[in-house]
Amino acid sequence: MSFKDKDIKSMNRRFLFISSLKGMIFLTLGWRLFDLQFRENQKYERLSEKNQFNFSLVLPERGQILDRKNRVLAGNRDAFSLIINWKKELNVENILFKIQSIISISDSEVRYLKKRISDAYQNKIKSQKLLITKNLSQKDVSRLAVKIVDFPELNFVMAKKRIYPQGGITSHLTGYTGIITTSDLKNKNIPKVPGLDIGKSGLEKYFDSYLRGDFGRKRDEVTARGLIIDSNLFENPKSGSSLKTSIDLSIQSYALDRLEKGNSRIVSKNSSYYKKIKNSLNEKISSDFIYLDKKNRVVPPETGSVVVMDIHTGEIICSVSSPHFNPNIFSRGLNIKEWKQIKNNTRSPLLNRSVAGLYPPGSTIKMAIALAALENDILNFNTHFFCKGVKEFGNMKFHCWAKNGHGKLNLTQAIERSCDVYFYELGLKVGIEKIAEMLRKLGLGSRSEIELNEIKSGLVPSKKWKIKKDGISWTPGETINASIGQGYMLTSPIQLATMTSRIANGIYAVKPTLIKDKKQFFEKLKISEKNINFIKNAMEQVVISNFGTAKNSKIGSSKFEMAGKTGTVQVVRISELEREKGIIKNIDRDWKKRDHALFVGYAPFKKPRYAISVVVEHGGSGSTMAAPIARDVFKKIFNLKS
Amino acid sequence: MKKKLSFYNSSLIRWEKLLLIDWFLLSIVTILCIIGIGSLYSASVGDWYPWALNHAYRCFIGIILVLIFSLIKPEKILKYSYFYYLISIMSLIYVEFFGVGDVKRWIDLKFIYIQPSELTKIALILLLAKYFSDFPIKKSGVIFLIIPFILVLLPTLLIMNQPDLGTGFMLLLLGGTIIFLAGLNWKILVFLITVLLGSIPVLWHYLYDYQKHRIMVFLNPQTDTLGSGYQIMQSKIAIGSGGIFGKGYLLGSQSRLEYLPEKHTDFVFTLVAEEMGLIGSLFVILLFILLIYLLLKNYLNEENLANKITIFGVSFLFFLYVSLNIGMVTGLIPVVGAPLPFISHGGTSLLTVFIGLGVVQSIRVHKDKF
Repeated sequence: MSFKDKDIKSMNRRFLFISSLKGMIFLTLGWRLFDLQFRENQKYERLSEKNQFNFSLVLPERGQILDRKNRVLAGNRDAFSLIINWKKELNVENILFKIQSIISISDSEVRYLKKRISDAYQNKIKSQKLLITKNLSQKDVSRLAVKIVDFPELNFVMAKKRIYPQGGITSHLTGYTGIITTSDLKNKNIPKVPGLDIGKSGLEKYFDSYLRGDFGRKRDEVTARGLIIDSNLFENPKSGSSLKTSIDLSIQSYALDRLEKGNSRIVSKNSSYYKKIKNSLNEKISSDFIYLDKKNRVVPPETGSVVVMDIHTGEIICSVSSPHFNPNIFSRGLNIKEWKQIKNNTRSPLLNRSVAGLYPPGSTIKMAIALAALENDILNFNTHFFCKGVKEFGNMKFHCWAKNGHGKLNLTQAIERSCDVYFYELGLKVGIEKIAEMLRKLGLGSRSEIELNEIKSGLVPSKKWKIKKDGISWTPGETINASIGQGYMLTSPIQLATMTSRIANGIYAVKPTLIKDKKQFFEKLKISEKNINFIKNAMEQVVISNFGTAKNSKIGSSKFEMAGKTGTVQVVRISELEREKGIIKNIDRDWKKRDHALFVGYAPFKKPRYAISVVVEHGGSGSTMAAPIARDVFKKIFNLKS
Repeated sequence: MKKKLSFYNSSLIRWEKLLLIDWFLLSIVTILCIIGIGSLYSASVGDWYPWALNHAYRCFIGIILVLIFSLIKPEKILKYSYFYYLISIMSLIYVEFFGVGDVKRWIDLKFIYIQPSELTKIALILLLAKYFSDFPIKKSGVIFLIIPFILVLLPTLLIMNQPDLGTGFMLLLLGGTIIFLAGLNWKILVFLITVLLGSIPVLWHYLYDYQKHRIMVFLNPQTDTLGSGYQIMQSKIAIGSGGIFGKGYLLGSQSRLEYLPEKHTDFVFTLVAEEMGLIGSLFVILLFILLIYLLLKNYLNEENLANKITIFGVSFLFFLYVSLNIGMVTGLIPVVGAPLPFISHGGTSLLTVFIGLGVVQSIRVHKDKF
């Protein structure tokens, strides 16, 4: 054995050297583990959780919109979605074919599904839950459920869908919801959640975040291959709050019917008369009845707006706009035909005429002109002017609606009979600036602070405005026009209702609101009580006097009688030649050339409670068209037989 | 007659030898095997199939193997060292042409798959032990110094050519360290390391693309989050997220949701670390340190050179397995492909470490009495 002690010692030395290296390496490993598992633990825990779980948002149930008596204006219904547990091996074409023999699935939905599948292939996902359709009816579900054994890979998921049980009655108020689109993404207040229904117009839009509620979170446990093996609700969604509006559905519904009817006659489809004229109709009639005008012509429903407002709280009791639309078609997913029907309707059914329809106010602002004069001590209660039917100013002629004139009259009589010449004289004395000041005080010419986004502010012209707009200075002729609410002046029905409320209230500058029991602060109106009462008395005379323009629209109950003011707005200029020949009656003109019919009023005049404004586009005259509508709506409000 | 008797004597099984086995060491091994079975049970999300039960059988057979080896005299084992080596080289060449598996590392023996590169490790230890006892470094000439290098490099290159860079590198380290221990001159050592480092650019050229990629990813892990970078990232997430006490047995989300690559073989340690935390992973390391210590206890009072080298070799093999494996899964070194003894599922490597243990026990048992 050639093995010496010296060699063994050398070997043992080297052995110890190697062993200490080993020890150092083990220490390094231990340190590394300490580092990963103790010092950086939180970081890796986060990463592990990110691996383990996929979080997705759970949509909350949208809050309801209610009327003042808790009747549902916008609610939710159960809807079913059909989901397929897609796997790579599945023959989707075949399954779809089989499903389509039972229920119908739209082409766009099929296309969307196929795109998702090809995406899954590209991303090498082996299985995934995919949406087939969102709009299953109860019927579809039961039909499919019977055959569910044939489709082990299908299941139903319940979701909520927006529904407007009243159809079109409150369509402009509630507005409608729709699926979030790319154009909505610019709005920072809208969460970017695909498939989320958001408010697109009306209260749905204005109160979108209030109604929306809070998202819940669903937690899916996923494998490295993307397979979901467990799924649970991690955070409950919080339903949106319900919104109680000041609208009274029964009044709203009545007002809409009454407005649409106007002065027409309703003929049922079952009547013998309808059968007689059926063949001569050009258009196909889809409703159960038709409207016939005084000359027995089939006419569409009247176009316009009715607004009723509580003169103490500013609450809007009804706000009707015609024509209306069915908001349900939007939440259901609009098809092209429906969209075209809305788009091609020349009377723009989507427009909320109550707040965004702008009309010259006509004679309905004569109280404001009078107040401007009274407040500025330009005339007293007994100031008389003489109306001979026309006012000549320079080389221009300004006509009164009464061709032969009203003769000599005082202010009350001028309002009662709506004499134009009296107000020409008055307007010239007061001047446009003071008129504009009073109109603004009464709520015209600026955006109403109502809870909608679609509001238009209208226009109260002034000298400054004219210079700015045209670069030409204001002319007295324009003041004359403005004195009877024509010319540049534009107002919305809600503004007219606000104006009337303020006059009827007399003390506070009431502001309109669509929300019940909203705490509002009203500024003082600062118009003398004496003048207000004088004007209110004149408005009373409009209805009760034998000469009043609304004398045919009495409620007929001394307890509830209304006061008001008619307005008839010329849409086309009438030349002197036409006047000579005799003005063509409204009913004989083209619809577009007929006058707008307006009425503002309040009731009961003894103890005012509600103010109303009625605008009927091309409705003829205020006294024959608008005032009767106002009367009937008041009768409905006060539960009087009509 | 006498000859007959001696034959009779030698073939007589002396069961009392078993009492001299290091039973403490074997109980450590048993604990490690149980940890292995438990981990593999968890790796299949709480199922004895496909790995845990199989692993239990293998461990049982392995311990029996240790007992059998301990009954054989070490001289008898070492006597055939050159033969084992030759067989290894031949099987390495065989797999080159007839190997099975996607990287041709296995021999199909119909009832079992054998990975010759694993068994080569134990063959190399026995070969070097025999060689240095036959030709001690200090006594023999230069030619006898070159031969062991060739003996180490031959299987190394064959394995690297499979291609299995990790195992080849491990074999190189194993052989090189044994040569160093046997008394290689420091100057030569420094020279060789210099040559090795200098030849890296040349070696780089001969590497396979995936090997180059692995090294590049190791040097710059952010470049690749889906390939080997993904593997190591997920492994680190699993270990790191385990924290001090772990997520609990069978509750490791990384493993359960299949984020862990190779969780039953090379990356099984990440599963232990994820479910048992820092306490569990340090416990496993301590068991291995204890195991290596118990093996080396036999080294210092051993005087026979061949036995000394064998003991050292086997203990160093354990050290290499453990440090390369844990270094790899914690992202300290590139992914090299080293299993964790007694815990990873894999037959040949398990067989290798049990044979190693058996040889050392044989030396221990026969040291004085037999």
